[in-house]
Amino acid sequence: MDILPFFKKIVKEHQRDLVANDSVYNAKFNYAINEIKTSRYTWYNFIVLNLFEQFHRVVNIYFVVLLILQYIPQISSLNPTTTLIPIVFVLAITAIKDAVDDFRRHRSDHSVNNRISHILRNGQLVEEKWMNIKVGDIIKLENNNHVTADILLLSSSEEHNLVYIETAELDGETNLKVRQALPNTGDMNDDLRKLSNFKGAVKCETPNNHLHKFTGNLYWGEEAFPLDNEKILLRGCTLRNTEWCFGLVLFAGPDTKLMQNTGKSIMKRTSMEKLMNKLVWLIFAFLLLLAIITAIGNSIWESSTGESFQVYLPWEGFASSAAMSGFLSFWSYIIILNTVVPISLYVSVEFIRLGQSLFINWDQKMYYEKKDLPAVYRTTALNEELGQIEYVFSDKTGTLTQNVMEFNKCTVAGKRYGDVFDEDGNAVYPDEYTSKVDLSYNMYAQEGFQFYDSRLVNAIKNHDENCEEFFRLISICHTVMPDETSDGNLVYQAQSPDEGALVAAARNFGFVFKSRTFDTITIVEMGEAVEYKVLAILDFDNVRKRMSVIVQDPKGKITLYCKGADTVIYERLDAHSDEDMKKITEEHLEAFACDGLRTLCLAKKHLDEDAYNVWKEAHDEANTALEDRDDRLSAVYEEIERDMILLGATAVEDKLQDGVPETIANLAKANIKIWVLTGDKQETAVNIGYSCNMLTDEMKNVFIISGFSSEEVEAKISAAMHEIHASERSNFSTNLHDDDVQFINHTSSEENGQSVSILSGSTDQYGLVINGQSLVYALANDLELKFLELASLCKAVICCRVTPLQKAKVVQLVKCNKKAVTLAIGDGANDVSMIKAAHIGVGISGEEGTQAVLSSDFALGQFRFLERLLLVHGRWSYVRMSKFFGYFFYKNFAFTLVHFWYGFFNGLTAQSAYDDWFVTLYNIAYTSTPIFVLAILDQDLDDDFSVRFPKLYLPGQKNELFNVKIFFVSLFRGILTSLVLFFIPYGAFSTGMASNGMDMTDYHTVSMVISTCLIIVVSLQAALDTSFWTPINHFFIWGSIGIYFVFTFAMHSDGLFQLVPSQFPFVGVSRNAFTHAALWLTLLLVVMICILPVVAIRFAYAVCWPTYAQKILQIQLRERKKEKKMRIKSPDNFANNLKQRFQTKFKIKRRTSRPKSGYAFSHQHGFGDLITSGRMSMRRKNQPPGSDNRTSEIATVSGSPAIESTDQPVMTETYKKINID
Amino acid sequence: MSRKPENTAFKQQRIPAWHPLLTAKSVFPTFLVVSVAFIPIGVVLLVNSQNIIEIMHDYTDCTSVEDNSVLCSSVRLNQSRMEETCTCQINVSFDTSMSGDVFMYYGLTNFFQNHRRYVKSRDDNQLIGQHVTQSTVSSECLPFAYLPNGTVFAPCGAIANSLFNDSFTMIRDTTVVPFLQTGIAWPTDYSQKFNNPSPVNDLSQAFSSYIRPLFWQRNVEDLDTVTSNSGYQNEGLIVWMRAAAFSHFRKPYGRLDRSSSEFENGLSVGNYIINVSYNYPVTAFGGHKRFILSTTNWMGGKNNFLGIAYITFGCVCMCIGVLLCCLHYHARKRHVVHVDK
Repeated sequence: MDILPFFKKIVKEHQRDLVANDSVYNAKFNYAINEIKTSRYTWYNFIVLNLFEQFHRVVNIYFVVLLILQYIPQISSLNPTTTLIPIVFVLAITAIKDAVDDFRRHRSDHSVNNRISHILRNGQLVEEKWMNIKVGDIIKLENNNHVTADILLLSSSEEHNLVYIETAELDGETNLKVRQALPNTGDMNDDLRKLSNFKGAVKCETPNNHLHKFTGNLYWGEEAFPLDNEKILLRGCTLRNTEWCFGLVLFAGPDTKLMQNTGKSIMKRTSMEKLMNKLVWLIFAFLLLLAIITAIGNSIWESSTGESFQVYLPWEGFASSAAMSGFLSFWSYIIILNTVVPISLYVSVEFIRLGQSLFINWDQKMYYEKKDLPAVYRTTALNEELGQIEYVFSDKTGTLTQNVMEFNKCTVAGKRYGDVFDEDGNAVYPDEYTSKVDLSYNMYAQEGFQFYDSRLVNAIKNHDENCEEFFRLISICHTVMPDETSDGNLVYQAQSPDEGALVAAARNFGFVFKSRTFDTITIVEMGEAVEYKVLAILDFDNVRKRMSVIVQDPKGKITLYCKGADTVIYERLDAHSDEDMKKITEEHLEAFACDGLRTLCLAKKHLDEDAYNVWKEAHDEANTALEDRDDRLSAVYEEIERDMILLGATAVEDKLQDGVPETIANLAKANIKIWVLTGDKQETAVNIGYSCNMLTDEMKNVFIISGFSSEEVEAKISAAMHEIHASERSNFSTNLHDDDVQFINHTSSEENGQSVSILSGSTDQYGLVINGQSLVYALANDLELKFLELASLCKAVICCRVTPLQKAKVVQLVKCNKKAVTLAIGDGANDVSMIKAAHIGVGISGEEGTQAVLSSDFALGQFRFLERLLLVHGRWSYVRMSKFFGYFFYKNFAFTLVHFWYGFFNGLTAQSAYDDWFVTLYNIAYTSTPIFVLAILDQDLDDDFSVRFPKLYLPGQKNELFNVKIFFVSLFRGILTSLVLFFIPYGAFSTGMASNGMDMTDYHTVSMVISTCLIIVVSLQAALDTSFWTPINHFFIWGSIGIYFVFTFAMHSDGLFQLVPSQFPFVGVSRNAFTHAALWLTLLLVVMICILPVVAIRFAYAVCWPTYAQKILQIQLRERKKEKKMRIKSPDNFANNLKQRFQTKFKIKRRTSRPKSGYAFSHQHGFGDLITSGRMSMRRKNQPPGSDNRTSEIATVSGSPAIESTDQPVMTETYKKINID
Repeated sequence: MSRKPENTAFKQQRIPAWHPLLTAKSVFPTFLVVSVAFIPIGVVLLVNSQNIIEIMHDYTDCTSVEDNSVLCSSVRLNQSRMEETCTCQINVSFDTSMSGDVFMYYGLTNFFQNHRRYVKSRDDNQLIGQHVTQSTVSSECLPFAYLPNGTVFAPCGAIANSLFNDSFTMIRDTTVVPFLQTGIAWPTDYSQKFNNPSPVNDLSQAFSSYIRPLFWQRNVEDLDTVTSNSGYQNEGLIVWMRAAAFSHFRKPYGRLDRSSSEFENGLSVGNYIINVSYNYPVTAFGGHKRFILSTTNWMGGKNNFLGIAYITFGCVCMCIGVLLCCLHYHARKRHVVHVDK
């Protein structure tokens, strides 16, 4: 929330105008500085602002108004302290909580704002905190630095003024991107004097959230240079593989695209809370109604009875007439009945959620051992919503997948390698005990490389020609950049992780890609360096789906190496090639695809020099063509990439995170629809869709929506709808749903120890794939509902190539049009907008930075923990909250309405039925703890069963456990209880007298009897609602009854009375009343009348209409009993059994057939162009003399050597990312 | 240091707990026990209540002894005849003796002691013996707090002002049946809530700066001749000051003095005359006054309500129990088919 926005001067910015190094000029515009502020309070404005915010809550205002009313003696029916104490209590507790929360925000802001960056001041580099960076400053970034603000790249250490950046935090893409400075500014290099004198003026767009667009001009000297996105480094990126660069700050702090993209943080409220707020209004209305009834009643009473009673109680001044009395009585009743709106409701809710959240943090089963990451709540306002999720929007990379590619299998000349077999010859998945192949012969081998099939190594060692060619191709045909770190480690920079994995695999097997220049490539083949001349790189694009490299070996032999999607390669094979091998390879490809691997075919072709020269001419001509260059080049490529010989195929595994398919399957059973929103290519996304069980072969159809115009998209959507409707009609008769039937199948099979299958197979299932391009149209106003309708008919929805904003829009679409609760889960900064848009955002603490986690509501280490978060914690929270609300309203109605009934016996004069102290303490001391503990600890079913029976999740989605109907039931029960509470004591005490003849029909005694009955009844009611009796529950339920007696005796004691006689008028009442047998007999009767019918009704419901949860509970209790018996009989056996039972019931399924997904190179063209044009090479730009001195200069100026000056550690890390799990 | 959560039963939500379930095994016995227990309890209570002898007489419209043609109530209605005494005679006879303690009560109906403004129209500080002045007296007492000249009423407030001031004398043959007007207020009230202002041994001095409430005929220090029952500590006043919960109520007036041998065992069978000095006007607001004589037992006075309620609820429980039984049996038949298939 923006704090006091009206204090800020808001001047609409039309154009950003700045001059480098001219702080005086730039200061005119009051641009935001680079400080980020997410905290709300400072220590000096805390009290005022916090109170101000708290009084935004209608309830708090309500209670203060009541408090003021109570100070008016004419209408004060209760002592003001009865409201004052609770409201101070509530405000104070909330304030403390807010203070703690804000303190955390302060700390995180502080750590970001105080990061150090280097800034050019007066011709020198000085260290400066991030928050002090201003627009127009020139800053220096070094390798692996986070980009401080949105800057214009001026110069860099690399040739051609290139820099490499990783944009993972910004858009989630982990591949490196290239930015290039203007040659003119680039000439300044790192000459500090020139940079200080740089007075370029920039006029550009205003702050916005378009990550891939930038327009502006640089005016320098006489010239104007257009600026585009290629020259801009955005905050949130990380500099990689670049020693240093200089940049001019254009946007800082809140104006940066990163911050603009994170959007406004909205206070998220759960649907239950919204319902609660509505109900509070309803209660207000109810309160008004009661007050009006009593006011009218009072007027009537005063005019009929009260008027004649004036002898003893004259109408004085303020109550001069019956009407006036009625008016005053209206306010008095507002005061006295105010407790129907429970003052402690909100604060209780907040603390219950805090407790529930702590349990999320503490859950060992959501702790990710490998990275030492426990689950973390980041907001405590949303717990019960976790139990109501209907849609999950998931990012792919880093969330479902590990973003790790592994060379897994291959087929070379018809032989398949890479499978692992157990002793019996069955294919198995390798585990930690499987022995890896021995790669010790190769000095470049990496430790983390995993491959288990030694046959392949043997083949290479035996110089099997096919294998050698196979790996030679892999090591040559790519656009990976090598880099040698200072300690001699070889690391690769690949644009796509697939390619990186392949090149790394070749390296491990002994074909080491060592270095490249723009026209050569050096491979160390089994220890022997060979330099190939690169004649041409026929780069990848999405249409060609292949890439080729033409190289000449040292002997002069020219070879074309090609890799690409199987279909594309097969079309271009030599007609006379070995048909058998083609067939076998195809079979292998099929098998790989079924294992969920990404496949790629490899082929080669020998060229004689003449043929090559002819082609070369054509190529050169095409390359220099001015028109249709791309088309003509493609045609030329096409010409040479044919009649190739198939070498084999590779299979790369896009490693899923652990347990993803199982989690998705289980969530699907819980009727949670999962949509994958990814920036990845369609093929990759679909592939992952299959491997994580979202798309299955059982699906009747997977619709692919991709079009370039609104009409096209609409047509495709309509066609899909048509197909679904058509098949639905034909299936209508067989489409039966019966919960009970399913349940029985379920339990019986469960008891036989077989695997569980809940989903009914009778409905047709569909999948939907849509790409970002089409999504633009599908999300337009006229199509969005149609799209949504289609999407909700599909079991799985995959959106690929979507931008962060589109992700948010998709979420919004569902959120606004479906009355469903949505959850978004992701790990990258590109997921931030969707995480914020969804009802609940979950961040995976992954490798792509922490942006997602910072804006999330819950942070998890792994996707699979989502299952437990939703099915266990979410469900529990929902069930607990539902019980809490139902009970809370009940107990306050029961408590308050007694006043109303009593009114009819005292002329509706708003005489309270209770001691003021009892009213004060009722909510905060006597009745709050049992339900509070219940709402934190209750478990209607234990966690194992909640996961095993995902259908238990359904009541939450359908809002079954707390809704308006249940509220009215609470109200009704409250009314009944209050009636019993009043009329039974009335009957017993109105004419009674004590056994010693004394008075016991007095107001004090009767009020004591009623309050005692009330406490016992509501405590027992809480006990009845408790389904999980821990010692803590016992302590608080019986304890709060005990506390009532202790406090009551204390309040009625002589000591307190003598201290303040006017405050404790009930002195001696308890001592006197508790000796009456009539009190105890009344108590017993009232309690039984209030409780037993509830028992009877609940039992009757459980017998006649048991809920799913109740049925499962019976199974649970039965099983627990069995376990107990077993444990007593044979403890060892028991442990084994238990282990077996909880082992994953999901066998790895082999799919029979499915579309093979091709290779995913990268989204754009590869680096090929850059390499051949010579723009990109790994040689450093010639450093101007004295640059070393300057580096040391920084150290002296800053006085701190803590600059990440070597790029080695991170490069290794990146390298590992490619190869190591 | 690992951030792994601790493996404690509490944090892992695995505290050993009891999972109660509403099963036939627990529900039926509950209803059985309740109905089996409640009906006898109810019967005992009812019998108990029936055994109590209570004599009640509404004397609101009794005729004046002084002038047989007038009702005392009309005398009291007439402002000009306020000072006149009016006495009523009530004849009571009973055929079973009232053994043990016998208490005399007066009952009022339609008297709203529980009216909000009435309930709080008192000053507890004054009643515990603090001296109050016009400025310190509780404003709740208004308009019965002080005279226009600033003299504070002792005691102040509407409750005190409306003190019940009929008096009863019970006569058997010619002897006056001795009723004590002490020991009828709560001991805690007598010792804590009501104390005379200083000097406690000279009440006329203590109350000299105050004036008696408007409707009173005697000063507060003259309520009884015995000092310990005078001033604020007069038990009749204390009893009155304890506001009744409902508009129909009874308050103890006296208890039989059983020290003499004649009344050692209570009141024997016979005819009794009660002389009522009729001072308290109630007819203006439609109220009634009753004279009540009652014995007590361990349950207190006569009240059939609890007995009847217990019996009724016991029966209801039995019915519910039977109904549930049928339901259960019926549902189990259905259920068996379902689960065991």
